[in-house]
Amino acid sequence: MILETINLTKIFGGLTALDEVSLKVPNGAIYGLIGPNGAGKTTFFNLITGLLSKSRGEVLFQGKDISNLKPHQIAQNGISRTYQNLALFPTLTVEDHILIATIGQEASVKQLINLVTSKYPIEAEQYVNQVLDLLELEHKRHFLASNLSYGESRRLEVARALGTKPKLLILDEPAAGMNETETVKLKDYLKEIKRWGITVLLIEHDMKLVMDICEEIAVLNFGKQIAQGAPSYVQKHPQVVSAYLGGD
Amino acid sequence: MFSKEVSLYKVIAFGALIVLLVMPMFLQKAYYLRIFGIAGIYVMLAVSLNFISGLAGQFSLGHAAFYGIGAYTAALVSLNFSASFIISIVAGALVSMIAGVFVGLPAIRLRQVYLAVATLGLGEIVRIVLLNWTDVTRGPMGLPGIPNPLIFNWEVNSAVEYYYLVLIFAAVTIFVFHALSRGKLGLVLRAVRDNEQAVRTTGINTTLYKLLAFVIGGGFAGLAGGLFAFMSSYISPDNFMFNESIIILAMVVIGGLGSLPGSIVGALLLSLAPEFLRFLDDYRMITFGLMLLLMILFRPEGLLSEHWANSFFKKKLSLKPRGINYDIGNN
Repeated sequence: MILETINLTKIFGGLTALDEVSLKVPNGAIYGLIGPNGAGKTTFFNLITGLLSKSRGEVLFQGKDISNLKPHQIAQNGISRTYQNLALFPTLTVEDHILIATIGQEASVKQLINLVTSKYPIEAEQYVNQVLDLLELEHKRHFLASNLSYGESRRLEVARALGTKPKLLILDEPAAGMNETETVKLKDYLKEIKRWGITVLLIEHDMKLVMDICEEIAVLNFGKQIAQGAPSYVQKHPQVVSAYLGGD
Repeated sequence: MFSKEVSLYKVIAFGALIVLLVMPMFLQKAYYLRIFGIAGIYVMLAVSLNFISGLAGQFSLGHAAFYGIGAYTAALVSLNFSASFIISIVAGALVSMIAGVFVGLPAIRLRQVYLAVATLGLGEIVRIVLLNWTDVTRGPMGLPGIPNPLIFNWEVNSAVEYYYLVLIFAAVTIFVFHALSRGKLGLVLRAVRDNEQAVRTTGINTTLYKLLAFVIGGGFAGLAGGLFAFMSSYISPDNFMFNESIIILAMVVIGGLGSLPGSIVGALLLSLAPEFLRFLDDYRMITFGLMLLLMILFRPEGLLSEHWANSFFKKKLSLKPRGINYDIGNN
């Protein structure tokens, strides 16, 4: 297991946004997290990446509890993420986004020594090329993020997340707002990322995509985990059906 | 044989430096040289505030605090310990850097207007301390009799010599901030300004970087303060009031937030214009205010915006025999 949560709970005031969620994400998998709006999916991601602090429970990453680390430490440990509502740097170029991600991987002291230079290690530059190639952003390399189309912006989010050379990539609705062709391409990117040895954990509302690409799926509803298993199993699970289609 | 390409901005910077070097030959009056000396100090202040507020996006209304701390430290070290000019001025910069840590600490938790109000408070604290710690600062009486700088064997004495001294310091400051903002530090700070949370989740400790922006920016403002103390030979808390912070911020905003050339032009404009508008007599400050109003109305992004500056730095001048050829690069 690359990621495991044990009874992870988050309470906002009187609202239990996430209630005793225990998930196991196997190494190398593409793992899907689904559920109706407000089910607690993004809260779950924010807890894992350290943007929110847990109320109870544990988050084990490669067997180590990371739930008390700061966001940048968690990223340095090998978890990186994208945002549902784009969180790019509008005044920076596409290339800069990925270069920044590579800076974070240097040890703190080395980071500070290297600050004055604008030179990056050759491996970092090669990796940037590799990521730009994968996400078909090479021709936009020197464009400002504010001048990208919506689909390109979404891909840049993924590119920046890959820049940290993560072991676990967390995607918050990567296909949101994409058209059919773009979604098909997204599938290819994800498969290639998996081939790079990166585990992918994604939230997605596009059921076709999720069922197609994920090896395992967990379903949340009202902060509770109602099912976990292979797509075919989850699809037929009575609680999942009622959560999505209504009924009791 | 001249197929070499040079960056346009380097040519312009070199040209400007030559003009500034020969200018005292034509500006005979000490009065004008002194105005340019003050303008040079404002350039240092604007460029250092631009680093904090323009680049890193940390709004500060307390820049005069660093300026005052640097000035008082340099003056006190010089007067009490008869320390040399260099030692006094470095002491001023160092103490301002330490102050940068204390101003930077609230910046870790506060954003935008809340940070602005917090820095405003810190600026006031510094002013009140300068005013009331009479044993050390002599309070409202100020510190008179700061000696002329002695740098090795050069005693800076006349208006011309002060002009050149400020020119050296301002040029070095500009060079340092240019290097810092074009390098990785500048890149990270601009990213923090655009979206701090996203920077954190790429594995960068943004707290450290924001603190660094305040320490470096504060340090150079302190250096400017030390220089001012020696140049005017008398300082009092009146020199470092809240309105100074506002003027410096106005220079940065009018020039273009995040733009180094903008801060230089903004500082020169705002410090020189009131002097060169003196022929307008009673209408001088009204004209000046109107100028600022129109500028911000028609160019809210600043005279030389950050976007403009980025493409300006990429422009190349190719020295080919057939003539000048501008190449804007691929951005």
